[in-house]
Amino acid sequence: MGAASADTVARMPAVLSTATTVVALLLAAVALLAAALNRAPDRVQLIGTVVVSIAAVLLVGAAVASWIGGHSPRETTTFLGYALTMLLLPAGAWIVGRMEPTRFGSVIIGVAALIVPVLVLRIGQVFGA
Amino acid sequence: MPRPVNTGLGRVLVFVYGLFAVAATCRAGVQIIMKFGEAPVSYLLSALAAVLYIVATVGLVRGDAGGRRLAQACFTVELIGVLAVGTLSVLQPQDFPDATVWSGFGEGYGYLPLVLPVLGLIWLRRPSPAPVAVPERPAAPEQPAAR
Repeated sequence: MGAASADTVARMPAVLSTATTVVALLLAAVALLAAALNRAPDRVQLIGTVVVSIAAVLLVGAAVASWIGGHSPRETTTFLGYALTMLLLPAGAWIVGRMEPTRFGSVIIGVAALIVPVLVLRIGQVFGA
Repeated sequence: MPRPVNTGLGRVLVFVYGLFAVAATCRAGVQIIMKFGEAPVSYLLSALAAVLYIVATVGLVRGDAGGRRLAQACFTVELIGVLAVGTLSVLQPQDFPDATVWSGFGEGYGYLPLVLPVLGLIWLRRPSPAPVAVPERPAAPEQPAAR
């Protein structure tokens, strides 16, 4: 693949990848701190979950857009799996976390938030950007 | 009355095991469908791990005596599997042309495949209710008849 085309498709998701990673790590820090302080999931974690979800939607959207633009992922199925997981994980963790209104609910949200940066990395690898 | 195993830390285990069940199943499924011939042993091991994660999740969610036994059996097999495959993948990497969930003691998954069954076994065996036990539910309205 040409360096120029790889560059143009890489730039937009690169910003979003970094942003998603940062907000996810922030949410993980907040949630795990809450767990350490024996606190159940609260509004701050809800806002964090929403922000991470929005970032995930934008990132997956950008990836799909560059796919439509002709830069297809190396492994389509794998990419779809990671993308779907990243879209569902924060909200799913919030739902399960609210079922557990103790510090362990915060642990669930924190653990899920730690997995998001891994998914971002893997999506980047699958896309080969 | 037996302690619940599917609340508190148990719910964290259920969540993480559920994730692993989904992730391992999808990965093994993709590998077996797309390129089974490349590394059949690796992919079958991944599939076995996936089945164990699913059954362990179901056992933990059920939480009754049978569910605990089921989960305990899965944790034990997982622990043996991750130790055996981990050791073999280090000593004889040529036998594993493609990574499994358990290769290198689960290094591709943050060593969680090694940590999870140990955590699970400890969780199922803990002798008394967790000392940090907190009310299981947000306070349900008190029955006025009680007083």
